[in-house]
Amino acid sequence: MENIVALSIVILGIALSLFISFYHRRSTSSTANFYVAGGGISPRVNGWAMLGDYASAASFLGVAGAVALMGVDGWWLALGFFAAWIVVLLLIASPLKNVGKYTVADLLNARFKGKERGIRTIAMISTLALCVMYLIPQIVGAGHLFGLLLGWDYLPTVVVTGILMGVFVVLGGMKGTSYNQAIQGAILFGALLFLLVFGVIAIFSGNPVGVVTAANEMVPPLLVAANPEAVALTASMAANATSGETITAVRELMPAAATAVTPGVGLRSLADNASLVIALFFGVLGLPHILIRFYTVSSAKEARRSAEITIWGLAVFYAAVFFVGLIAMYGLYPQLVALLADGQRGIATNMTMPMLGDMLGGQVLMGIIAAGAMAAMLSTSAGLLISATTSLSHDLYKGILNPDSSDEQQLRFAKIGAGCLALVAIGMSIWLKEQNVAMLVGMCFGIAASTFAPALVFAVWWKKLTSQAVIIGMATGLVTSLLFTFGRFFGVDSILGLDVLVNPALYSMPLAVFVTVVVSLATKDCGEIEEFMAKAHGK
Amino acid sequence: MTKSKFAAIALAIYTVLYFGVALMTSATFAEIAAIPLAGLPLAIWGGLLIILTGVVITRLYLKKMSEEESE
Repeated sequence: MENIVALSIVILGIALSLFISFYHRRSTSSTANFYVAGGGISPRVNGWAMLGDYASAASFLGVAGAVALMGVDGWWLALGFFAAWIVVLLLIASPLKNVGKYTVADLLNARFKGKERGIRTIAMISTLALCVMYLIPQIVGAGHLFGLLLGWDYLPTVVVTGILMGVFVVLGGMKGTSYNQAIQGAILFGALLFLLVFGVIAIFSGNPVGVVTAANEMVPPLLVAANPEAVALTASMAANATSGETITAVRELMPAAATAVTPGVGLRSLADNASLVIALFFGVLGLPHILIRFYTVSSAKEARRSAEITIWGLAVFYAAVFFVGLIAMYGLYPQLVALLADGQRGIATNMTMPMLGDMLGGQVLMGIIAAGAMAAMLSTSAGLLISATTSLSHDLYKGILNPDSSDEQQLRFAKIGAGCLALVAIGMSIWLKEQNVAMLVGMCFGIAASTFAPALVFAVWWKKLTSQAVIIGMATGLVTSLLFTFGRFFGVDSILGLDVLVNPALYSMPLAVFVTVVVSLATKDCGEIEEFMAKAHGK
Repeated sequence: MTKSKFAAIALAIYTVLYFGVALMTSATFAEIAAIPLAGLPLAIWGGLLIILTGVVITRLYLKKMSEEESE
């Protein structure tokens, strides 16, 4: 086997993650422990865990890979991920912490007491849809990673990934997940900085300006792959020439082509871009697995210390990922062109970082990078499946289908549900294997921005919001966003006369907000406003 | 100024800044995004400004919250 050392490190990393989950799972004795580790996580660990949760595999693999293929146009996505954090902090982090509810449905029900059934139903459906959609990029990324390490076909790697996710769900629990995510955050962050520093030293003789100089010369691989003459030239030089010589030769062949720092190589239309920007900016407001981290520390002061660690980490991470992407483009130039010309865009995009690790630090560094990314994908998937199965057993089975059910029956229903969800996600991952994982995550942001985000923001800031508006608004956002998301997957050009864009949010989020406002003004059940608002805003 | 008012103003400023830079990176405004400034295109400086402003706003907001809590 070619990558035995790297594979061993990945297996070791997965085993360590499983041990951490299992060790802390033993101390899980209540729902508070399970969901938020009883508020007992230290601010430093929580800060790193938030970083690991937020800037996980999609950013690390997807954004850096996109920069390596198309230059600076691959970086704009990262800015959206970063900016969304500021929106969460300013808009709902504080009210959410004050209300002290773990799930979106619980928070909405805290305001609209007595209307649990309708809100729980739509929240559950939205949670399940988001869970499946968010699982897909994790499985696609993990599948490619295993494929790179083992040389397996994509299909068996996806099955192995699905089984591993199931094991993580069984072990589950927030405390273990927190420590895992903190370790993953530190590994990914450290690996990124190592690639940056060591890449500059090894490839550019320690001169950081050399990265910018090279970027101004490189024709992005995406453009090269579209030019048969340039592909042939790159292939003919691959065996005997350095990356730098190949880059110079390609530039001579395509003197007028854009450079790696020229906007325009992969720019989207204004409508596509606006849709993606809206999704990224507002989407995190509707992603509970990020928001829930504010509860895992004991006080507001500690939550702030966590947030401070996270923001510094994110700032460095998202700035560094751009330069690492450029270094990867330079170092892996012939390989990236060859992969693109061969139609393997998924591998070219998502596996750039492990390949760069292999080039700079051999199999050990490749293994560390792959292990960090793999563990991040698995724990994110486990967290998603836990939240979905909780919703299935608690909201659907006990709440609607069988109110008198025992714990054992609920657990059985949840496990079967988790299996079904994972199967759906695996099936879709096989279908969508050539997609960039960061773009797939962006679609989840679009769905979240159209469902939970308006409901949550209105719930904590607008007194006139009614329970009917929450239900109808979320349903409208969900149906519209899924319609346009699947339209995109099926290659449909337009739906109801509207162009299908790279992300559904441009249509679905404003529509959800509009419907929520109109229905609120037409109905009267505003819930326990005074009590809820006083609690949310600490008055 | 209360922390809520501060948050509203900071969010408004940041929203304008982010959407301005993010929409500049559309095909429609590619020429503006590519305007060179100190060796790099304008859009890259805009991106770095978004990150820097985000850090500054976070620091100020957390400081504001701490002050309000200690009052």
